[in-house]
Amino acid sequence: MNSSKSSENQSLDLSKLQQLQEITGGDPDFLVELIDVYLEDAPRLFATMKDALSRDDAESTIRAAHDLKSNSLNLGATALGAVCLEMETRAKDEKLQEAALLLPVAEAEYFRVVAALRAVSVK
Amino acid sequence: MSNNKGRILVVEDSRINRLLLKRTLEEQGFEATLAVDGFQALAMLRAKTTVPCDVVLLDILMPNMDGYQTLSAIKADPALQHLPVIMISAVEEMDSTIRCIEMGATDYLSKPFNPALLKARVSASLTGKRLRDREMEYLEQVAIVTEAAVALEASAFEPSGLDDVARRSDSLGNLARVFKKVAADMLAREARIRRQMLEMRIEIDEARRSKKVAEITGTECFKHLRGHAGKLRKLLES
Repeated sequence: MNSSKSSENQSLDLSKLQQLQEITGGDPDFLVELIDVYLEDAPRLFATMKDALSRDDAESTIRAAHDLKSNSLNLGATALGAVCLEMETRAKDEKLQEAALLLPVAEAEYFRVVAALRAVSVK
Repeated sequence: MSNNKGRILVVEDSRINRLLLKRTLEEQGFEATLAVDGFQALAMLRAKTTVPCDVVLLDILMPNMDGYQTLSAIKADPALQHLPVIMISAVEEMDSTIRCIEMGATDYLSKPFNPALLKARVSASLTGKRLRDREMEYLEQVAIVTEAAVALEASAFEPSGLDDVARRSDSLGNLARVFKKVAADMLAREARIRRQMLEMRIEIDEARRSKKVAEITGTECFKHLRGHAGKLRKLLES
């Protein structure tokens, strides 16, 4: 597995994806399935975070940020995972306004992750 | 003792984590079943129709019923409390993990998980469970032998009840085999004594009858009657 775009490498830890393929004995279909599930769930989680932040709902923000963090880290989206961790931590500290400021950062990083994952899927 | 590969129940609300854990566990030779939250997990653990589980992998942060509540319910249930539970948690949730271990969780696994560590921790928990299962089976079979002794005293012993224990290759199996043999010898001896007593009773009864007959035939009256009977026979014959 390799990438020709440096931004993909920054948004995705390709060694993590390599590890996922090794776990399954090199099954490319499984990796594609994982990527598909991630791309299905992420928009829903972003929507949940937006809605929760607009209602000052810390618990829902924490849960959505936690899930998106976990899913992102599983697929090697380390930077996005880090932003989600920050959002989760701030929400736990009842600093929802600070968490809300990080939402656009998470969204921008997510779009880079999507591009990188789609490139991986095609390969 | 079970020869199964190891049946792991994965309790995790994240689809990706469920997919990853199931696939990884199966590639490592385990059987994995999935639950999306604590409610479903408890229903599966308590259902008599599902295959028993050997180890539970339990996420902490879940909707509906979280990891703490699920762990607490498992440890409060006498039928489930022996199950090893490995908590799945993020690195920054160490306080939560410690709390779960204090509540009775066996081990923990950080997310994103390391496959080698997953296999090592699941295998260690499986080994512990299988050891406990063997110990429980041993205690149950000791109880069977103890009950056999009580049954023997009450003349209600069934030798076939010890067949399973007698098949063991250890000292308990040897005890069961010796018990069966001693019990069988004892029961045979009792049967022999009963038979002898019956025969002696028959002899005694016959002796009593003979004595009675002798008492009757020895009387003067009987002798007189026998004399008359003899004379009558001669008259009839002439």
